Amino acid sequence: MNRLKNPLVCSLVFVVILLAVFRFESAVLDRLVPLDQSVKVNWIYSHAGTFDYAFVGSSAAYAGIDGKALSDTLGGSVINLGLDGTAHPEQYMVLAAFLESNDVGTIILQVDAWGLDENAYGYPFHEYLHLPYLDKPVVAEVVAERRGGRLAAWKYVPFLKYAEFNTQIGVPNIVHVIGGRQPEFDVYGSSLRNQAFNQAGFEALAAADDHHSYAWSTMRAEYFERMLELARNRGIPVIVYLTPEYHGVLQYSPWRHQVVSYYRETVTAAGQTFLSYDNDPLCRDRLNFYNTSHLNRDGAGRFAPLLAHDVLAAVRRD
Amino acid sequence: MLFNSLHFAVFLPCVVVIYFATPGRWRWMWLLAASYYFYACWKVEYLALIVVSTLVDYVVARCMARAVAGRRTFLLCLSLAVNLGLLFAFKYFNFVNASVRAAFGHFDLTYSVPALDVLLPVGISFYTFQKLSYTIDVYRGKREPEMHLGIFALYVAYFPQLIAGPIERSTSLLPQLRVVQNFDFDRLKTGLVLVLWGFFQKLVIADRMAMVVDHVYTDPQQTGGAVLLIGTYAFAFQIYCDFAGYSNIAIGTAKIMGIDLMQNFRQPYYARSIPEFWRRWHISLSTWFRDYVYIPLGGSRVRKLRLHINLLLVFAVSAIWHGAHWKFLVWGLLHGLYMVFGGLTAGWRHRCAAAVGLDRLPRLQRVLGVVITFNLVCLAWIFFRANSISDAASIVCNIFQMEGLGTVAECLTRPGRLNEVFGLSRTHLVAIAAGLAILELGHLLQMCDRLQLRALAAPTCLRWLAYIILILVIANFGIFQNPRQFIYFQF
Repeated sequence: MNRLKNPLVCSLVFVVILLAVFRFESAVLDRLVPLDQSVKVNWIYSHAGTFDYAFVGSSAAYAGIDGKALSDTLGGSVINLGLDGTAHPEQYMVLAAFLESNDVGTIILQVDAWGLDENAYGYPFHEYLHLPYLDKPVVAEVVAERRGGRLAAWKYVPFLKYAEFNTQIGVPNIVHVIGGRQPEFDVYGSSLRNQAFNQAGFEALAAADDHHSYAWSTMRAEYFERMLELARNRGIPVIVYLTPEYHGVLQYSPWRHQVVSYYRETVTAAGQTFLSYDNDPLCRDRLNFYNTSHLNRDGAGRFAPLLAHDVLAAVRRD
Repeated sequence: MLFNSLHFAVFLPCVVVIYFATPGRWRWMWLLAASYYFYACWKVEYLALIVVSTLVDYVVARCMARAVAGRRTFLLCLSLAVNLGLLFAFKYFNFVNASVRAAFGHFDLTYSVPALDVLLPVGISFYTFQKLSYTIDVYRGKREPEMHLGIFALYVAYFPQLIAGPIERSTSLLPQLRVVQNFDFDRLKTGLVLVLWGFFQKLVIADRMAMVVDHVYTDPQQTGGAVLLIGTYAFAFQIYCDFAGYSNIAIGTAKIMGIDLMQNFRQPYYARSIPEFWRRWHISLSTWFRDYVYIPLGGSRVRKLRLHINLLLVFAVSAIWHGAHWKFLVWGLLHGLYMVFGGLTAGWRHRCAAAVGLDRLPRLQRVLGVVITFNLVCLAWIFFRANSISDAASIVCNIFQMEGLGTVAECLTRPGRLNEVFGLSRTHLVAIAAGLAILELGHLLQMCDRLQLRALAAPTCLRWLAYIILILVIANFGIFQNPRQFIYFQF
């Protein structure tokens, strides 16, 4: 104990003990956080199996894919990897990590006309949800691409990642596990909503002054193309569908045609199938939507046979 | 540069290491450069303001020492005019201008003085008062003027307490800045523990309470009384932990460099009366007003009516010091009225206590005093926090109607409701409960000398365990994303 009277030794010993404690807690949380299956990302990463169809996309896929109806109609196993509030970088990361431990027959990518717009749709990169999975090479790669040098800090400074995002991951997950929080999504990974059309939101959108500015994100487009490349490298066919939107809103998206053209041309050039439902009666009835760009439960139920029909046709053609 | 930022986490160790590595006679230069850099991080232009006003006070004080009586008064007035003039221009001009415009508008008169497009220089109220205390002390002959311009500039701009105090007296801080401090490991430990405690108060309690307060106070007209009452209690802890947290970080930081700053808080919510509350809350400002406003007005050695007027005046000035808004004035006057009313009813209250036998139960009397004082302070906090006086009035009305008890009960059973009503998740609730328990444990330790001695004499492993637990609590429950500014930075 006498050596502890030396300030330098004393400080060093304290720091070493502190780092060890942080390292231990970090290791414990690395094991505990994935147990919180109410978090969609944890649920996705926990899978290791075979799926005939994997749906990938943003909230429009998360809330608009009726897994049961599609599974019945397609006659195969379905998983919905759609994540709320995400853009292509995060979708690419999740898909690539998922494919590391799962076999997928067909990938069905959901895209939308606003997904490449950095102006109106910030789509923050939810790095904190993926930090417990930094040992997966693709997760580390994409996090490094999006967050640069901070990856090293999160990876090598014990507990830093859990401290920085402690309101989102770490203790909250443990509370969820202990409290037995149920996920908001079903066994297919979908979260169908029983909501009526948000008329006020539609009117606000219609009344907005600026419908023209669209900040094209080259970075997001690159990640979309990487998803196509990933599937091609693994020999998995890809079907890309443009999410159904309430037709009344299309007039306020003057840039839409250009964005859809980009998706159509990129997908076709990659030798894959592109589907659009813009002219389908489904999009003319606001009762199918809970807002202008998201199907509700009824809409998802009506959309499922349409999509299944086209998917089956594309699969047979291939 | 916020104390709760990565920038400060790098800045402080650099400053401390270079400070002790620099030869004693040059240290003031390094500290002054660091302090000016710290200030310039907010807005580099306002550095000129602090430099110019420092020069004015330095010259004025030196001239004062050589001047005869009449000229000394002139020089004091000059210093007051420059300091208070700058404060007025940056902090109060727009408020006064808007009020005059509103008054003119009321009588359909034209008023064309435009508003000033300036940002309030951070910490201006604090360093202005610190400089004023110096000039007044020199004027009163309580101290000699500081001859070393660099040391004086450091006294004004010393970074730990520059932005939000404690407002130091020249008699205490200036001599310490002259002494060459050797590195002391025990002082480093004490300082770091204070810094840690400050971060705990700010990051774990204040910033989490802020989530409740912001949520509840957003739309007070539509919020039930019970919810508003909880929101107000939350604000009481938010503002206390925010400001006391800042003060502890400032005191701890200064202590590491061998400088003792004055204590700014002494468990204020344990006060048994409003006068006692003010002896425990923002002590450096309360004593400033006592020494430079209240006592010159006659202190307590005047007739009762004059005393009451003086009290109201001091609290009104103190309120306006906080912010250029009528709601602060109401807050201050409420405290002034508490003091006056407390003084007027003291005898009657003692007789009542004796009549019901409360004087035979001193502990119960103490607890009652604490509860009543805390609630009176909270009532005044409503005006401090609300967005306007009308909002504050409707909050008070809603609270006294006490509606929404059912909503609060629902929150305990349904986590979703907790989030809707208070903007909190269950994790936040757990963190708040744990945080408040640790805070009270800390208070107990601070209040009880015997416990403090036992804690200090505890084996190293036990003390380390306590420090590690505190660090773990901060790391797990502190809010690090989008760091919030300290409330008192706005003053």
